[in-house]
Amino acid sequence: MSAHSQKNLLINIINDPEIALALKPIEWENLLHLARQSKLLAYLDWLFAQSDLKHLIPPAVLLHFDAAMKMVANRNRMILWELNRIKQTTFDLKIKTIVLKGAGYLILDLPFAHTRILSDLDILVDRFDLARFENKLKKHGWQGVELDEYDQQYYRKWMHEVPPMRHEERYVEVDLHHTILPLTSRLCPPVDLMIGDATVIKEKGIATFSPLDLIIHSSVHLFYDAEIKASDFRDLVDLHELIIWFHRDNPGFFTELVDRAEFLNLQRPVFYALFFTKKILGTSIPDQYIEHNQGRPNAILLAFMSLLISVSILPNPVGQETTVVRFSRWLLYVRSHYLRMPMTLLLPHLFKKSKKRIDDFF
Amino acid sequence: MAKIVELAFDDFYSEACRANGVVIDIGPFYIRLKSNVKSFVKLIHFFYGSFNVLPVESFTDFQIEIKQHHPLSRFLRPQVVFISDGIQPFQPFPLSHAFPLFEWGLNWCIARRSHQYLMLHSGVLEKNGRAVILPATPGSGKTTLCAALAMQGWRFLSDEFAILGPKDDGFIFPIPRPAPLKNASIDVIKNEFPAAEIGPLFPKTRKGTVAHFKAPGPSVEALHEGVMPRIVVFPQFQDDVDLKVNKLNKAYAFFKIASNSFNYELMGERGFSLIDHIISSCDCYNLVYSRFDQAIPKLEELIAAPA
Repeated sequence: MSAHSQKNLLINIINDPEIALALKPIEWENLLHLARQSKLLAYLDWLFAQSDLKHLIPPAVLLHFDAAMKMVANRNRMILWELNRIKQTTFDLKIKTIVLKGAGYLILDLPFAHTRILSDLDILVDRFDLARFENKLKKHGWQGVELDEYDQQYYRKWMHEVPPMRHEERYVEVDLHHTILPLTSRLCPPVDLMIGDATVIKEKGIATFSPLDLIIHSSVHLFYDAEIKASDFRDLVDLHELIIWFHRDNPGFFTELVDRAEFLNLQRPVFYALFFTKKILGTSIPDQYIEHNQGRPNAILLAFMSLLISVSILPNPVGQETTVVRFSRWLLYVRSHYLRMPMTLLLPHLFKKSKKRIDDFF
Repeated sequence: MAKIVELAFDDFYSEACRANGVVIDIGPFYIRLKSNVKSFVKLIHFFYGSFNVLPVESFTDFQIEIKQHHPLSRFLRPQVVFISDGIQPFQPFPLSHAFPLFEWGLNWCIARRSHQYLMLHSGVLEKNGRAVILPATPGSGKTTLCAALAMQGWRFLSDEFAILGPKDDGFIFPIPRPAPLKNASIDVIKNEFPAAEIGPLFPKTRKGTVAHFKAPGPSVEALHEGVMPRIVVFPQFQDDVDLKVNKLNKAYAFFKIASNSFNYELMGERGFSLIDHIISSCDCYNLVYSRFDQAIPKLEELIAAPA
């Protein structure tokens, strides 16, 4: 198998799980390695089960899937328990509590969410409720991680979340947000409109963003919040699955999505989501929503981003990243800082950080 | 398929240096090992001599590389690193300690992701088709007792892991890798059992001086033969005491075994049912001992008792 097709092995399998049946043993080994990098081992298991192929997969490979599913189930059980404790603690405040990202998909019982390992718990409340919510948690055993004065300030003044918290008896990190991007960032999403549309799931007493906003938030997070690494490939898979799931029973889905993006003034990230899921994962999206999308950047910028993101997001066998991959990731890293903060804030911030690093060194 | 020991060392070494390394069957797992550190590969050739090498295109569960830390470090202070899945989870070790680094790293790999199995941190040996599980607590003398039993004709299944599953039948599967004897127990085994094959001394490890006891050949021959456990014995070595045995009630023993597991909680329901199998088929004991000539006959008596 050539180096090129090896690199695309994981993508090819996601596009067409049946090609796995022709894999040689050592190719299975490579596939598991790639999937593990992007935390997609349990997802592959689910994908093969969906395609009714599991009985044709080598037993030695199935054992790895089994182990991965157990890890996911255990971790997600811990996270949901944390959510349960938070809900119980803050119940009497009557504050609309929105669970973001993976834990939200889990609450909504989206099938692929059960294959997605959660690292921490992200929740969001309206910024006017933030202090009450945070204080209540602090009174009941949740503690902020220790930060110096500068980092405290950094979170409070510029970030979209308060410093991470953890309950003294448990190990799950809770990130409490009041908006979906840093306050300093170039995009300024009207989060109150998203909170307004968020629906409370009755039996759980917890809310998630509306289906359209789930996708929009995921797009913003992937393309506007941080640099892009191989581990972000999973976020692209999330978008792929969310689009498939919510499009299934709703013929008007794509029109509603681009309208909503326009309403929230978040056309660009949504364009990227549609463009890259289709380009990389073959998500079935009618061309018109990509060709005539208001968020579409000019041809030069698009060609440039298309190259950078395609190169950066693909999982590589570890230790085998080429210079091109490393350079693309570096450019996207620089872009992420540019998007997060205006230069007048960024430069002093980077200066303070490196000074601190130098001081710590001596 | 050939045993490692049947391959000339030079051939084995040049295979290990190649991009795809050598594939070794260690029982529940196949590992792909790549290394150009000759002194280390020499010890693999010795300790894993009775294990089989598989075709290099086989599917493996763990891919491990042991290599020189930095090309220049060979002139100053030669060091080696352990790499698995592209990650280097530990600080570099001195070149001379490459073998303990590999053993430690492999334990780490297994414990961290093999959740298709319930894994207990225990030694396991077998006599006449019945196994004893010897859960570890630090300083309990588990490794020493495992080596002594192995030298008295018991089949050695493992010093570190009792591996149950993937079927829900309660069978334990062997992984007879070298057992690290520590400090005083090295001489104890050497003196009591001159025939024991023990490797070089590794001074100043995290656990003091370590030397590995090599699993006897017949134990490795039966690499894929699972066995049902019959007794669980929590050993406790103490100087100059008379042998003391007391039987544990099963509910108490259940939690003692669960807390000895690497992944009981993570396994969820399957973890519960596998420990239930152990508890149902086993009598459980605490054993305080000073001398092998008291402890071993007692273990033989306990394991032979009708269920």
